[in-house]
Amino acid sequence: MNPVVNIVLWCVYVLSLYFAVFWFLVLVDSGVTKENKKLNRFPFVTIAIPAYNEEKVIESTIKSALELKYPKDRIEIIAVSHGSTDKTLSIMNKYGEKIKVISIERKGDERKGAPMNAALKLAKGEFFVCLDADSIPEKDALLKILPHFSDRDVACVLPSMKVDNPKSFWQKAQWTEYLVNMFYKKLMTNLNCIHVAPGPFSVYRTAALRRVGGYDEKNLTEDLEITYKLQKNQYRIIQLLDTQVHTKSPATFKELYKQRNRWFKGAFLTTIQYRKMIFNRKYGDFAMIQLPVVIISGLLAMTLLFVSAYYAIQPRLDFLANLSTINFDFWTLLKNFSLNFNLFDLNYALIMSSIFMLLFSVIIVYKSHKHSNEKLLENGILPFLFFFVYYYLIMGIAWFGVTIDLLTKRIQKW
Amino acid sequence: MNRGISKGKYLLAAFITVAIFLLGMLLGLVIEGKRVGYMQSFADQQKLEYGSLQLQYQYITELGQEKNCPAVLATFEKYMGTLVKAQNRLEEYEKDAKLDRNEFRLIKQDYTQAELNFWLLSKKVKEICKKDVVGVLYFYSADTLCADCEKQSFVLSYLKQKFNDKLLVFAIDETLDIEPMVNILKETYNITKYPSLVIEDKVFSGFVENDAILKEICSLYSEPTEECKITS
Repeated sequence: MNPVVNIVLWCVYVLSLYFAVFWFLVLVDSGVTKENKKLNRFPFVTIAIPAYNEEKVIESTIKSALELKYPKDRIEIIAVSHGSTDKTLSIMNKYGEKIKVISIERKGDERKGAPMNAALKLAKGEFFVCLDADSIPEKDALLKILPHFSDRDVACVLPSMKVDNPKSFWQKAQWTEYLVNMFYKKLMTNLNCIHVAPGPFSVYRTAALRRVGGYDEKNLTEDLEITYKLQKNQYRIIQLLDTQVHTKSPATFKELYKQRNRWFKGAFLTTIQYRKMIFNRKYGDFAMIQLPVVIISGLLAMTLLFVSAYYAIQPRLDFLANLSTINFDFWTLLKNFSLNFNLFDLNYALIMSSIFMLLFSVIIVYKSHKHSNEKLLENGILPFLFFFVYYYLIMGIAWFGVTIDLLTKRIQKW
Repeated sequence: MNRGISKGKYLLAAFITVAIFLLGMLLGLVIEGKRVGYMQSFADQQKLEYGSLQLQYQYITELGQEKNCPAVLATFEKYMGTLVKAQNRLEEYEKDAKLDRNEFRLIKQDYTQAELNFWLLSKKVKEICKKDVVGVLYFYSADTLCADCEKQSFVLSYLKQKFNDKLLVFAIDETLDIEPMVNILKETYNITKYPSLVIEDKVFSGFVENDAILKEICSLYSEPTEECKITS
């Protein structure tokens, strides 16, 4: 075995095991808090729906906002078309009597933060909800989310994001991924170190948003950036599991790659932007573990991708080279093939760490499903196994793409 | 306002991670000890098997029992097969060894001696039993710098599978300098480059292609074998 690859591989094992153990300890120590709080009053709420060329989904999103179980006189909906060139604006205008519609021009390198700020400027609500045009919240989402703002320092409460109606293999794999990610974020709530409040139905305290200066209009992942800002201003962010929002997820590998490329690039650039917070004790566990993990997870995913590729390709290349020396006479090899294995041949140091890693992963995956009231293998065994065993490869590919893009200064517009 | 830092959890996670790896390493070392014992018992078995073969050879030669040649040859082939498998395993264990590298070297010396005994015996058995068999001494280097050794091993094991009992390959690790016979053989055949092959008494230095070995061994059979016919 190549000694450099070997050392790198052991570093990956140690770091992966360390994080697995750490989150397991958080789970054991704090557990999963109950969420059944009741709403005592109906504060005024603003729902912002930013959209850029979303003619296919915008209508159902507006309808889902209108159908929310909440007093109609205590809610306002602001739909913002950000320079859409399709029918998005005209569809929005169809609902002009029930919702406020605004259209703003797209200027230069502006991104989703611009329509969000436009809505924030007009918002009258005590709470401000971001509803991405590709997402549908459950009808009682507001009733379940708002009671969690009882403490003044809570600036944001997040519902559990679920993949809507997964059909393709990639969507089914993401379905499991989202459940596990939501569970991790629930654990992060215990340490107040959530690093992203995603676009689909994150509820903010409007005053907190305004106090931190609103959204960064040029950021690739404005939802991540606003969360960093809230963390910097010592606010609390809470993840819920029993309140759900259903979101469309990429159906093909290409779409998934594009989405993750944007997410990871945004996460990397924003973390660099807020680098002074890293390891700054003032920001608690968010600075000590969460911010470094954003960078480390990218490195880990890419390293694993390369190491896996090395081990997948190198022996096969050697075997092919060997086969060429015997004129590809497979038949003789097959005819005489015999297994020569005994238990002493196994690498027990590696097996030991893998067993623990597997054990922690199984517990987390099981708990993720249990606390989201979902069945294991709901979407079939293959997407589940793919998520469990190979998902890191997809992450590695996306991070590798990000690295190439950053080196060649390629940054997408939306 | 300063927020809490889960210092206790960071430290405990580090402690548990280290403990898991240490446990794994400890288990690895225990297994390494077991591997030494396992390979040693195998070496003892090889000695017994060689003793038995030698006895069979004496029986044939001293009492003129050539009719028992097929049985002796079959036993010879079987023992050689287990020896080669054990040697391959030993090679892997030696590479993995953390503490007992010297132990493995000593066991390897045992195996090499057994192999050379088999080599010498094969020459005698071949003569008495008039068996059409070709012997190859294969000098390789366990040093990782020997890039072609793996390729040569692959070719030889393929040819062994092809020719079965008509071809005997005796692999010798040139780095095993604790065994004087290795150096004597190296000097005898003037081996300076690895891999090198001695097919019967002809020396080939450096990697030898499959076809070249095939041609050479086929030229040594008194009667052309099926395998030689297919290739030619």
